Parts: sequence; C-alpha cells; structure tokens
Amino acid sequence: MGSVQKLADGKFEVRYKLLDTVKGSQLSTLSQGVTEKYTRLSAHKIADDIYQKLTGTRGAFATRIAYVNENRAAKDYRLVVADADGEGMQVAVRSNEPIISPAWSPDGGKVAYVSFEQRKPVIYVQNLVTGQRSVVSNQKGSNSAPSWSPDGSKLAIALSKDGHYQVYSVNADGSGLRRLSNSNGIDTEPQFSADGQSIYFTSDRSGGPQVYKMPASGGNATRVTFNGSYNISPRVASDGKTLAWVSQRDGGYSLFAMDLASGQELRLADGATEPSFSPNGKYIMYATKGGGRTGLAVVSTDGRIKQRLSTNAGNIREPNWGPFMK
Amino acid sequence: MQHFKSLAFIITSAALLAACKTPVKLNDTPVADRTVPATTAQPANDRDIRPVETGATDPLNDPKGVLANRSVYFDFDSYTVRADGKPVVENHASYLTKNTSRKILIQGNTDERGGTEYNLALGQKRAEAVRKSMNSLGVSDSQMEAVSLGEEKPKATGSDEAAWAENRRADIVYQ
Repeated sequence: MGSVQKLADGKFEVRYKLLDTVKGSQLSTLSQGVTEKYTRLSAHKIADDIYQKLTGTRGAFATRIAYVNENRAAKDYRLVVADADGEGMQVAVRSNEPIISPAWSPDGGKVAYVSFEQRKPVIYVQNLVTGQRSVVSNQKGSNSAPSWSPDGSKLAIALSKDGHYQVYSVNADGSGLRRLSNSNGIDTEPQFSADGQSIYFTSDRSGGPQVYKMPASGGNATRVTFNGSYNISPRVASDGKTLAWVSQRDGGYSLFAMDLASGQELRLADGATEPSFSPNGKYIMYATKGGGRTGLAVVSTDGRIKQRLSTNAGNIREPNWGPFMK
Repeated sequence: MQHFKSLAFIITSAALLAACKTPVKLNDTPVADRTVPATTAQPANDRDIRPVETGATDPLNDPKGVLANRSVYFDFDSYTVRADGKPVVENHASYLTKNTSRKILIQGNTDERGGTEYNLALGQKRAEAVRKSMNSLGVSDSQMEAVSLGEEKPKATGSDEAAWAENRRADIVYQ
C-alpha cells in the first residue's frame, strides 16, 4: 500500500507500507520527501525494500548501470549511466572516438574507462558528479581492462608496455605501477575477487584463452576453466560463490556461470558477451545482438529469468553494473 | 770544391730534417705543417647552395609512391607479417632509418569476432609483429609505438569474410 502527495514546497512525499496479510502484521514502512528528480529512485528503493523483506537478499532495483552507446557511422560514442532497468539515462562522457570497458568504483562515485581519443587505448578515471577526470594509465603501447579493488584504492589493469599484454596494478591516482602476471602470452581482463585477495584474469598461456586465478599481489596462477578452447571475460559475484564468463561453443559466444565450490557449470544465455554481475550477485547483465543492433539483457544466475532491456536506437554494449549506494 | 758542396748538402739536409722534427720558427709554412685535404668542415664558400626539400618532395607525401601504402594484412588467427606485407615494412623501415626524427604509431586491428578486450590484445600482437620487423631492419624503438584498436575502428563494415580480412590489419600512422 502506498501514496504519493505533492507538498507545498514542490517536493513529493512518498509513503508505503508492506503488510503480511497472512500474519496480519506490518513488515515494513517507508516515508520520505523527495524532489521530483528523485521520485523514480524512491520507487526503486521501495521495490528494493519489498525484495529484501520477501527474499532476504538486498534488492538491486535502485542500482545503476553504465554502458556505451555508439554510432560508429556518426563517430559518436557515449558512456551512459542509467537505472538498472534502463530508464533515466544520463550521458557521462561523449566522444568522437571509441570508449570501452567502463568500471564503476566500489563507492559508486567514479567510473574508470578506456578511451581512444588519443588514437590509442588510455585508461581514465572520472568523477561522475563533478565530471573531473584524470589519466590513470597511459604507458607506451595499449592500456585497458580496468578493474577496481574492493576498497577502491587500486585498479588492476592490462598493459602492453613490456611487449605483450600483461596484468598490472596501479593506485587509483595513477601512481605505484606494479606488474602482477608473468607469462609469454596474453594476460588481460583482470577482475578482483570480492574479498580482494585474488585476481581472476584471461590468459592464453596454454594456447587458447582460458580463465586463471592468481593472488592479488601477483604470483602463481591456477587455471579455472577447462571446457572449450576459448574462455574469456571472467566476472566474480560479490558473495564470491559464482564465476561468470563467456565461452565460445558451437560457433557462437555463450554466457556461463560456475559454482566455485563444486566447479559445476551452467549455460545461461547464447549470443552473449561482456557480462556484469548485479551487486547482490543474483543477476548478470550482458550485451547481445538482435535485429541488427547490439543491446542489453539480464539473466538470473540460476538461469530461470531472462529479459531484454528496451533501449533507444543505437548500438548498446559494454555494460557495467554499479554498486549498492547509500 | 766537391767536398764543400757535399758538406753544404749535408748541412742543408740536416737543417731541413731538423726543421721537420721541431716546431718551426720560420716565416713560411713548412711542408710538415700544411693542412691535410679536409675531412672536417671547411669554411662555407659564399657561392655554396644548400638544397632544401619542401614537404611536396618528401617521398612520404607522394600519393603514388610506395610509402603511400601503410597497411599490413594478416590471416585469420595469425600474428606474423605475411609475404605481401614485407615490402610495406621494408619501405617504411628504409624511410625511418633515413629520417630518424620521424615517429610512427603502429595501430593493430582485428575483425569483429570475439571479446572486446581479448581482441584488443590480439590487435596488439599484430602491431608488435610489424614493430619487431621494423626493429630488425634497423628502426629505433624510440621512433615507434605499437598500439591496438582491437575491433573498435573497423575499416570495412559488414560481417563477411571480405570485411573481416580487410580488418585484420596493422596501420602505420606518422605522428
């Protein structure tokens, strides 16, 4: 049950109550005054509250996503921030050269991304509220694949500066560059684990690309994927229980999830690339092609629920799901 | 009389020899001190002409010259310079070794198939292959930077083998 009332000062007072009709008790209530701009957020927070009370897991309705909307013919590339359902789009970066690999900071205030505005891939970190940005890595060669440490102090990145792509770490201000991986092949796509102790990454040291794991300070890597000859884009859920990645099977690219305790694999979606976990670990957003364009879709980690996000014209790709915010 | 001539000769020779060995105090320049035909810079003659090549005659800017060809193509899943790419590498290596102040960006590309970041790394391998070939032909690393555009800036749109072949490419871009 809920109500929305417009107040004298132009704000809206949003109220709701969640009732358990069986037990005859009140499960939750929420009441807040918000400006018009944030009424949608209010609705999301109510949905989150309901979700949490009913499932025990924090809802992801009030979270945001970042993605790239590109029009190559027009040389128009935009990094867009939107609600998790695709509404409420705002442009964070607009460029006439490509942008890829956006990554939200753990506090939700910044986004790291790779920009080609200097005719080569360079990693930037941008404060979303102020619009201020700085270069985190522009070493000789290519700089890409930024991934934040859970405490927001460092980024794991992939650089070609030593002649071939390897994984490095760097402080969020761009200082303290350190090489972490050590192979003669391609090591890239680093992803910190939720506890910050390990880094998952893609490596083709054994021939084709596979997912590996190493300590966050570097060191010996152990292989994680063994089925198929092309496994890339590892992502770890925030509860550390599930690994998602993209595997090339039957000539196409499919999204897989692995229960890290048992090693059991589940094929979640076909025609899927560029996955990103929701902050509660229950959903994975990914890019998919259809109708001649690339768009976004969401699948639940158990594979049961699948939905396409309806968005405006343009090619939408490179989704990154933002964190819980206060 | 003969005796005197011989003596005079000996004395003159001795004097000459002495003059050759020691710093000369005579007014005229002794043979030993004359400047050797110069390998060092000579003072400019005011009738000299030093030729200047404007951009128009730089072979790099000749649209019909061999340096106009700046792309090296690769087979699928391949990261070695193909035979048809070697002339491009050689021509530009030759230019760069003669023009050591010129710098290039070598941009590697892939076709659209596969993951974004992994393709960035594969494109890098193509750029590195060209860089290494030029390096072995004498081009300094300070003149080259190998980078990748992955699948992000395809030259040919389309999802067929012809488009893919066109995009499996490294480009030489003069800075």
